[in-house]
Amino acid sequence: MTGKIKLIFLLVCFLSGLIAPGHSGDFDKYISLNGPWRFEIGDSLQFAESGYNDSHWNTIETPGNWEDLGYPGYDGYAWYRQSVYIAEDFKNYRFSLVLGRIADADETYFNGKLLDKTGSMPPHFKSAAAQIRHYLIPTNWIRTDAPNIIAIRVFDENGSGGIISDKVGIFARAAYFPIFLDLSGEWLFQPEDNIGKTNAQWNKDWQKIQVPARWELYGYKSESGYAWYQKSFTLPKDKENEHLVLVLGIIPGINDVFINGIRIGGTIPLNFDKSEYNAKDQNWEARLYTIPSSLLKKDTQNVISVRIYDPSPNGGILWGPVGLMTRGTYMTTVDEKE
Amino acid sequence: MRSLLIAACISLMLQPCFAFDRFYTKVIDLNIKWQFTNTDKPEYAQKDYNDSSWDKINVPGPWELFGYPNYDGYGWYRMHVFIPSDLRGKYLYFHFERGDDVDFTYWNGKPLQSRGEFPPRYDTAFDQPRWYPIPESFIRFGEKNVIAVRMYDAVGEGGICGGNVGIWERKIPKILLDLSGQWRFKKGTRTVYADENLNDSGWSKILVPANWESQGSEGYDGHAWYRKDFRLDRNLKGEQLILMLGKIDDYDEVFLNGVHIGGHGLANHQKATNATGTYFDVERYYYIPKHLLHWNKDNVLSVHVQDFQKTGGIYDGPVGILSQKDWLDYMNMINASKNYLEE
Repeated sequence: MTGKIKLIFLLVCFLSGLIAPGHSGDFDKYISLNGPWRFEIGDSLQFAESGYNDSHWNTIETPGNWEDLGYPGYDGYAWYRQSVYIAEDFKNYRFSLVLGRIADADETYFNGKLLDKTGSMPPHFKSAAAQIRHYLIPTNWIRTDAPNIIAIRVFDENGSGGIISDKVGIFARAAYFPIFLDLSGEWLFQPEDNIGKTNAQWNKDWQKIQVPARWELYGYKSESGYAWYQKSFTLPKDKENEHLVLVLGIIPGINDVFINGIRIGGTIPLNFDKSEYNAKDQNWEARLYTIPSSLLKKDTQNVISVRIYDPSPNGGILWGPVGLMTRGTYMTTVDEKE
Repeated sequence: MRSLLIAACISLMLQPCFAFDRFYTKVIDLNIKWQFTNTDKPEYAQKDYNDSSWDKINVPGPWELFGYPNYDGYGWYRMHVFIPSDLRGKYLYFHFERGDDVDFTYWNGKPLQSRGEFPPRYDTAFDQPRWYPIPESFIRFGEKNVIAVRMYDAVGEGGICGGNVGIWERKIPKILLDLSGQWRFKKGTRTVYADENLNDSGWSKILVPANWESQGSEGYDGHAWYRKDFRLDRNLKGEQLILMLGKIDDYDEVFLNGVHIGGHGLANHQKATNATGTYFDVERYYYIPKHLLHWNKDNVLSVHVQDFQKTGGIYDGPVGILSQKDWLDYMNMINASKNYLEE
């Protein structure tokens, strides 16, 4: 990024209060990314890398149809890049990248990793020009020590191209969950049901997946609609005598949760019949589970297992935060919020 | 649908009537008496033909009003017009309206453009305003030039019946490389005609911009290809460039050195088959991806055109290459002018 653009974004961050978040009642923040982005037509996956030097690229006003902004008639691939500073005080916020409408398909990278995509690129081209992009950014992908790099690969088949309309920016939603142990990141994953067989024991030979994210983003499909997630953790010494709450973010499907093989809660009915499942019943509230103290082992590994049933392509632990908090600090936060 | 909407917006934006006084200025008035005859001979087109014995008749207006009541059929108009040297480098049009019904216009004896079809495949064009860009190479500056208009009237009023007749200057963006003039031309649909290394030396020659009916393809509707070689100044290396292709009737797809860089209608064959929109009045601009350009040898531009009816081909200019910055400035100017008129 050029110095000028950096300055603009520092300014934007400052004006929107991001550099120094306001009082505790002020929960949601928005960083506008409307304005000039780095832009280059053509295609190379190198452009996704956070270290890629884009200083020789042109800039383009975003949002806007690239056909009106200097690239008349151009159809095909192009890349947008932007950098954004996020202050350290935002550790507990949940971030989402809002890109409005993109013609026709996009793949969006955040700090060099594929964040999400909509539509699909050739040879299996599928337009998604009418769709609003709203991508959840895993908390542990966010850097506070350096600018975060957003790189968007766009394919336009015909007519208007690019990030064409609406708002472009990052929403930071205050997480009302004072997590002391962040459990987002790599989890073990199995896209089928195995409840009878392994009974929620540690399965270190399972595949790996990032949490939070929908499983389809990592190429997983579940024929049955069922999938299992597992994560292990060791309890910090100073939390051994606390009442703990497990935060599992947002799981639209129905799910069960196990600690060290014992079910501690969930929404999958006993003797569940798939025909009873109604997509309208998806639950977009954060999942919180109180962990019975007796189930937790001290000085050794504890295993969280999550069984999910979701026949839609949006399956998975979709959005953070994912982690552990103490009941005491949580109640204090809730009081403050109210 | 998206592209149709855009096409509709652009065509609205570029309609001369919208931004008329800001982009088009009349530089020579020809609402005067013209030489006229109601006979028809091919030699009337020639620059040096002696028309001194012809009648003098008011323009614009139906010839019925000026001594030829109830006359239907062929008529010729001729005008000797002095073009001052200070118009050199300007983008000039010969303009009239309500040419009733068909015309074929010559400039110094050279075919300029035509609208409508003469018998036996008669087709009227009385409702099409004529804006004929005049190639600079046709003009003799500081001298008298000869405009000859052959008209055919089938029924009712006939002749150059309306419009603010004259030579008009149009404000255009700065062109870095003019691509108007002689191109190579071949009818057909073969996609191999886009190939960079195709030997097109046997193709016929055609003037761009001009409708192909005026350049030896009377009455032709269908597919054809245009090709042009050009070489860019090496100083332009690194510059973002835009190809301006003027107006094309009806569909086009454009290839630079064999690679598709844009199009209207034809670019997506699936959509072309059930398109209800038209593009004939849309000014074509195409971004030139830098990596496609050659700097040590000629570049080849190939344009596939499909015409469904009436006028066909690359019929209005300017045609050339401009910088992205100048293009953006020009488009902003057009938008500003449009907003101004709307207020």
